[in-house]
Amino acid sequence: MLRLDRVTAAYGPIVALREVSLEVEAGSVVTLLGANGAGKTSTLRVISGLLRPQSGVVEYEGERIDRLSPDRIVRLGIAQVPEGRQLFSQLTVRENLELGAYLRRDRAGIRQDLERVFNYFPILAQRQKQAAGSLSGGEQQMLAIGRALMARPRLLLLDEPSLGLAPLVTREIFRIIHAINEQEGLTVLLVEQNARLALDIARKGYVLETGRVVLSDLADNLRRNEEVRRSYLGY
Amino acid sequence: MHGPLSALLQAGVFLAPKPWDDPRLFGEQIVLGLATGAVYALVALAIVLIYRSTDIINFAQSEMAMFGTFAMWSIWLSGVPFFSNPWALLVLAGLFGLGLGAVVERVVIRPVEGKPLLTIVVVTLGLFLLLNSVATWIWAQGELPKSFPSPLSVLKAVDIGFANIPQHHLLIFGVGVATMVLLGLLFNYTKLGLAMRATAQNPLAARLMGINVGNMLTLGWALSGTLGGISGALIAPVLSLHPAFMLSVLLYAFAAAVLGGLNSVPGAVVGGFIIGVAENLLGTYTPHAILGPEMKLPLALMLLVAILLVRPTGLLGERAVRRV
Amino acid sequence: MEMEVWPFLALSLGVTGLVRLLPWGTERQRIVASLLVLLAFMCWAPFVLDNFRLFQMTRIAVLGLALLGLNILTGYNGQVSLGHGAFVLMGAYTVAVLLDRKEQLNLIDASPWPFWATIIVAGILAAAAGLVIGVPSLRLSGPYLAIATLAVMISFPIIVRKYGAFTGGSQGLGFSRPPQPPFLEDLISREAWMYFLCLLVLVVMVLLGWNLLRGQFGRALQAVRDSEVAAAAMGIDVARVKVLAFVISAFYGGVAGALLGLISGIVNPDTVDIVQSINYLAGIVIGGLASIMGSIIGAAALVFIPSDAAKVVAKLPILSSDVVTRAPGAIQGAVVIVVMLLMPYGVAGVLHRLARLRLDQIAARWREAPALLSRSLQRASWTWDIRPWARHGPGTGHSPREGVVGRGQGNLPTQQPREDPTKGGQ
Repeated sequence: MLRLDRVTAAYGPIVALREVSLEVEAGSVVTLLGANGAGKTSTLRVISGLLRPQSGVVEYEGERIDRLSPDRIVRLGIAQVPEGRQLFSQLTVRENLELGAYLRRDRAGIRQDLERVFNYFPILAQRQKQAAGSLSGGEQQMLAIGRALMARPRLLLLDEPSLGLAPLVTREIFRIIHAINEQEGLTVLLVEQNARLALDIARKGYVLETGRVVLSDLADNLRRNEEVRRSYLGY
Repeated sequence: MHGPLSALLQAGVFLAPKPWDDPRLFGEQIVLGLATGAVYALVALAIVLIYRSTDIINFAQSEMAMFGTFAMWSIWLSGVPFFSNPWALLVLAGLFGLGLGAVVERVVIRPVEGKPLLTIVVVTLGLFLLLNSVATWIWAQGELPKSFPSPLSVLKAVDIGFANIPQHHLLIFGVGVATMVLLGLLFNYTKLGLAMRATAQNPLAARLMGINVGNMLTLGWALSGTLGGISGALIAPVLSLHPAFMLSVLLYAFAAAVLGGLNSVPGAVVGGFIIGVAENLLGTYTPHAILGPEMKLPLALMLLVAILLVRPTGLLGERAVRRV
Repeated sequence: MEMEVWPFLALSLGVTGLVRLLPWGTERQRIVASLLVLLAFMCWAPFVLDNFRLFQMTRIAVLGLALLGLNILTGYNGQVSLGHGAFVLMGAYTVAVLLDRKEQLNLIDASPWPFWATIIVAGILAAAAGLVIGVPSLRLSGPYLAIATLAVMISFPIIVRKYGAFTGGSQGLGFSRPPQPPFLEDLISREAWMYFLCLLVLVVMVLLGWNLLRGQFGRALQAVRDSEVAAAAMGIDVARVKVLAFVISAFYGGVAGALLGLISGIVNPDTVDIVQSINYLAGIVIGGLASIMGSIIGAAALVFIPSDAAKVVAKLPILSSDVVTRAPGAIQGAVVIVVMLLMPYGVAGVLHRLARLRLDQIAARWREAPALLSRSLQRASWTWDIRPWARHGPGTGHSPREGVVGRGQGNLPTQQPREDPTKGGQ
């Protein structure tokens, strides 16, 4: 579904990605693991068009997307839940969700998806009129995911959904991500520091170090991999 | 009691008219203040629209409005049927401002996007100089100031019960408020308005939603140009047309925008009306020997600074969240 | 010997630049030597320039002093002020009142003050005003502070007009400019004397400022600018530093105003108007924020752009000379915009990059020049981001917070931008 082929990208003089190649199959959950600054977020930024690669190819459903603007990429069905959630904090929960469907014109479909999001996250239905900034951290993360779902994506990019959340809340959110993937067959590319949780729901994983893919394998194998256990699982 | 103070008291230095001596005058001061306040509010809104999405204070706002008003003056003189009608001029002024704002954003501001804010502010200062000079070159030949037509009369007054108000001032107030209501509707009840608010708050997330942030910024400048254009055409019959005629309006509008809170749209409206009314009252009801009409601008500004010291981000502005 | 000002400046700056870049001695020696060479050229100026140009040079010295004051406040300390002109105007009025022939101010005894004493009084009074304005300003920041200071600047001339008994109202005060001291009478003209006086004061104040800004206080100023919270955590008394910045800045402004009064011989409410006060800010941004050299370059820009930009552009075949002669302001505005476009970090930033180069290294670097240029420009845009009231730019993905620094990609094996080009030219 999504394929990166030897992508190199930089912020000014600072190279963030060096020849990163990876592949995400339709309907699967794929995770990117790595320490701070390994290039996980940069990978997502390249995919969603926020960062232009210097070289390499990004292909989505057989089409090159590495020269497209972010709104074109959203139109193609790729939605990103950015790191730190990036909600419109002074707008209401409802308005945030409506903005998720900004590019869509089918009113009936939007209403349907609103119901679907409220189904996954009932708490959001209760807080519709509240400013997004007044929600708790977990609720904000749910809103960020819900907002991305409102675009009715076929590929969901999730950037550190566990950031700053209590373990219990994190587990709940991962459960829902897993459920969405199972029930709707939504493809998910998951960037996560919490490797254990990520590998639990992922089928496949890539390990990034200083902008390079150093390891890629099925999630089960990665979990057993000595290196991964020591560096990312901590046992 | 002896000494200089009593001497001053006896000389009547501190004598000032009292509001209750002449209730009609008081009423007139309030309504006239609301009318000019509407103009300040429009220009303040124009400043706020640009500030809250880009953090830029646009110093060229006044000159963009001045430029548009002169262009309208030319159309009026040309005597083209329909378009040179003063009512049509008001609409055209808005449309001209729309176009000018969009062009300025695309041509002048876009190239310095992402540069330090002060650099961009200085670019708007350069634009100020440029527009002012070009307007002087094209229009300021011969006699100045030029008179600008009003759809109603600037001199004929209407009795509104408690005061006599010139027709044109009622028009200023009416058009000003109508423009603000339209703007409010646009922001709160349309998808475009929602997208603009979203862009102003979090451009990065707006991009991820598929909003074309660049277009929204252009639109913001265009709307702000529209407000400036309308306010220029509204106030020009009162102030008469001159290359610097919008500068004092801009200064009052700065005060209004800051008073209300630079990132608050309702704040700009409230601030505009407060400044407009306060300016009139401070000019009329302070002792003329030591303060009085000449001192109304400093007095209004001192009031502004005093309020800022109590509320450092204006009356309705959100407190700046200090990120560490 | 007569010279046009442009060849003169080209010659003096060229020689200065050469001395600066020569591959001899230590860095410090080269800087000192080049500044001495520049000073020597500036002392030569009165003997080669005509009176108009000499007066322009005098104004640059005065304006440079005023801009240096504003730069201490805005460039180094991040407090944006549009009201610096008020301090300058105040300095000018102090001198005028003390020297006024009509002796309007009988509060002080009527014997004439020596002119040099009035300069000091002007500086001290302005500094006191800076204290009065600086303390309440602690509560304000960013554009709110900018507009509040603009309010002071707008009000000042109006108040001066209203209370004309002390200030001469709209007409202002006139006085005779101080004559050259006896031992110089035969050597130099009155104009040259004024120039040397301003140059001397500028050099003294620049040395003082340089001494102040390179040390601990300068670091405290900039730490407060970059993050008040972090500065406070390091034990810096943020409030004290910010008020002191106001006081020092006002002192420079007052001294500059005093000189402005002395060289004009007349002071009225229009001596410094609102537009000029706003232009001071434009001056330091064009010259370069947080740079002493930038302040003086900015002053030169403010003096030369109005007088020469239109003339220079008129010689280009791109525009009809009609535009140039009838709308000179349009050219000036366009020049300001283009300069900011090409040098968003001011002229000083570009010069500082040039000063980095050594003659013996230039040849070696020539081959990789294009790559170097683009990389250095990019690097400048990372590090040199003085945005006192910034959140961050509109979602460009280019701001350091979104991009590099905030993401903490410190373990990348690439050079992190370390040196801050703003600190150049001190």
